[in-house]
Amino acid sequence: MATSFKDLIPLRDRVDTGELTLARPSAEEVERQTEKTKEALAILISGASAAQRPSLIKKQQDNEPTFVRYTPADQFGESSNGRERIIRIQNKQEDPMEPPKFKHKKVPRGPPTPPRPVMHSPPRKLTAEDQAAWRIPPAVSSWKNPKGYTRGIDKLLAARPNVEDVTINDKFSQLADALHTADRHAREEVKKRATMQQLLAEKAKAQKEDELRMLAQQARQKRTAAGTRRRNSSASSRDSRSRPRGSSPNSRSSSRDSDVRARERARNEAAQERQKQLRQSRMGTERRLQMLAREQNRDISEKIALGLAKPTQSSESMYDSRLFNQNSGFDAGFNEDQVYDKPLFAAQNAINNIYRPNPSAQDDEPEDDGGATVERIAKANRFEVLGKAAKGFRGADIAEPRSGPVQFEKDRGGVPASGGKPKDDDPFGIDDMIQNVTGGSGKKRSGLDGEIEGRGGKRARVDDDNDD
Amino acid sequence: MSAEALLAHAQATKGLFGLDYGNILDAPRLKRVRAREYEGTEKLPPSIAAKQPKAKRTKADPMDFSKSTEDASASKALVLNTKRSNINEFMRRQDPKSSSLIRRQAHEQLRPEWHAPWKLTRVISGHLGWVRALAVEPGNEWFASGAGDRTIKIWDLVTGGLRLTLTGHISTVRGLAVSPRHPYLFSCGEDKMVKCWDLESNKVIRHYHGHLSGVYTLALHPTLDLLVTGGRDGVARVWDMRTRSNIHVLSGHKQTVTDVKCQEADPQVISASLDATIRLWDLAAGKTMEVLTHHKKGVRALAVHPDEFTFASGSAGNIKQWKCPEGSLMKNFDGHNAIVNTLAVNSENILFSGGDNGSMCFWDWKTGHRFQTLETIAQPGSLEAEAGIFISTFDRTGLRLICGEADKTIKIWKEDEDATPETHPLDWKPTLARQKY
Repeated sequence: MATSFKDLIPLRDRVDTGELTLARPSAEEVERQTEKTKEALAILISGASAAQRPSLIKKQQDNEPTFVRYTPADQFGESSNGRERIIRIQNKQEDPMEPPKFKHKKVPRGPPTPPRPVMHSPPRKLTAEDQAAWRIPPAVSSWKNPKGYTRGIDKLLAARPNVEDVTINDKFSQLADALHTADRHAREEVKKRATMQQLLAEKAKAQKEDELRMLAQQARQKRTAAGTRRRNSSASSRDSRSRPRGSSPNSRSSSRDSDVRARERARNEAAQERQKQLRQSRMGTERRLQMLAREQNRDISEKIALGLAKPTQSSESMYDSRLFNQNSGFDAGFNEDQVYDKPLFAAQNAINNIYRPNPSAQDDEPEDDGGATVERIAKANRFEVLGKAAKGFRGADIAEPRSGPVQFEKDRGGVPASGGKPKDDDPFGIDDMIQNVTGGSGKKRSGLDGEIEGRGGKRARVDDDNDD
Repeated sequence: MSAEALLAHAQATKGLFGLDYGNILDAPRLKRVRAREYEGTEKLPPSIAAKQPKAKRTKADPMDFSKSTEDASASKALVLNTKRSNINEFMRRQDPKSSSLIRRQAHEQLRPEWHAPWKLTRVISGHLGWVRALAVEPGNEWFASGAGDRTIKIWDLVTGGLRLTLTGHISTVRGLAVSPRHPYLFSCGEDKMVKCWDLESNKVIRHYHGHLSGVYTLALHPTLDLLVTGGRDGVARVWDMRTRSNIHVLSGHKQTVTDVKCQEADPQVISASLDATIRLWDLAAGKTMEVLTHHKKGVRALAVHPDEFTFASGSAGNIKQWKCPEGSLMKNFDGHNAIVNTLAVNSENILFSGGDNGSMCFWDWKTGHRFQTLETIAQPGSLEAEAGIFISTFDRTGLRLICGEADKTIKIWKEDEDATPETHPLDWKPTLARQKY
């Protein structure tokens, strides 16, 4: 037990400590202590182990009765001589299943060991620095941060996958380069081979044509040779007759020259055509389209170049009208109901209004002067007419001005319709044919054909019958 | 200060403290003490002697105003010296019997023994959790480690290879011990279980049931078939190895029992606790022999010297060495500013202390001189906070130090064989400060 100030001073730092004996206790001492401990513990162990073995707890107690000779002492003058008794003492039988008679009471613990003197200085007061040193910042997950705490850059970097260590191997780029060059080479090769094949094919074709031409020439020569031979032989046979026709070889040769020329021309044309086709086949899509357009007279590039074709230069057509009046109303801009900004056929409206008196335009004018209105309509330059039509067509000036819509009538081949000739109705003479075939019925029909009213009525009646 | 005043002061001091040092005053011893004391004063200590001419030179300095003033105490070094010599002369003049100033024994500081520095030789990473328990087999061929991954692994000490993995605990394994007299391995864990493994069949053959909370430490008695465990329930329990009966419940600690050691002679059980006390137990009676209350913070580690009858205890920032039968404080080991998690001593008087922050200190057991300080290097890929030493033990020869760490590795350290006292001179200077009281 430490009792004095000296006990606070370590032994090695004390002045008065003599030689310290620090040797471990001797074997005998250890033996002695071990034996002592062993004995002490053996009792405990046996007790504990006995408690664990129920068969040993309920060991057969000595139920043998003991006999005691009892001689009572003299009491109240009575002598008890000779009145001795023998008493049999035996344990009372116990019910083994009987619950304990006495309540087990917890024995309060004994007084604790007296408190030991505290041999250290009282703890220091906690300073702000100490507190700061022990402040542990809250752990913020790298994955979830619902409260949005700020995290240190070092932590962020530590949580990040190591970016700078990831280096792509050089060979990836080399491979890509190699693939690229190989692809280019292959493409060039294929292109070259194709052109070469085309050239070869052309050559072969030309050769074949040459051969054919040669063959044709040979055949022609053979034929001419045969002809001249025959002619020569015939000339020799009937020389007198051939004389007057002496001029004929000349004319024939000239005709043959023209034939040759024509053939040459045709051949040239064919060659040109072929070349053109070849060129076309080598042309790109755009160019070919252009060619097609030019062939169909739809190419206006030349016109544009000459300044003939110009877009309409009206100021309002320069801008989409939808861009204006954006805020004017429902029908101002685009919507689902009105997709187009203006009617496609703007003239349609005008056409509808040509011969219909416009009530809005006539509001201020009296109703009855119809003639003036018509005149005004006719005068009004409704259409911007392009080209010659503005000046009027030839012969149009002599035509008297119309007083209404143009009325067309069926062309009856110069004969008025009232002529009633059946031939006019069928130019192919089908009626005649039917008449010839059927006889009277055809005649009857033709007779009926004259009175249109009656036929129409009959037809109507038949229709009614059919309806009924 | 006049001589009379000094005298009065000295007498007052004697009145206060003389009783404590009364034994010095018996005559023959006092004479001896005095003789030794004056030996020291007749000749200046070498350090002061070296300063002496320099001090004279400074006195000759025209800038020094000690010349101009009468008071010679301007030069500090001289003042101290002259004063001391004055006192000594004064003391010499005094009658020994009437001497009131007590001179302390001149301190002869013990020169610490030279130890080779330690270096890391092997890192074994096989555990998936903190390595919290280590035990070396008596034959020194293998050692066992218990970790937070609930396994006990047995490693070859020579090659460092894994020999065996024992599973059975359902929480961290906190204590391991291999019996030198049986083929048994004992383990305890935070799952309140204490298990006895038969190493011939590698199976659990006994459970010691009784702890109310996690069991944090375990020790085997060297001569008796006893097992002592301590845990979070604040008691140390003594178990009979064979019958599994709980012989003693050594209660008295107010908080977690962090470490328990057994030795063959009384005190046969020593326990350390987080209530900052160490208790020495009388095993036969199951009672506390002594309570050591010197520590200020919870004591986490104990180490019993294999040859000396002493032991050491470590708490946060402080390691203390104790003499055994009575438990008197022998030495303070100051300088390890960390929570000391583990202590280990070998027979070459090397004390190792491992801190919770990964700091390691190697001390000379006799003198308390710290000859090496290291920081463990956490395994690559581990966090900064995972540098920490939980458990350490020397192997049976004392040539290897095995450390269980927070980075889930076991690190093995050994002494540098190439080091000699010439290559690694002892970094020690005797201090002039008073060492003895």
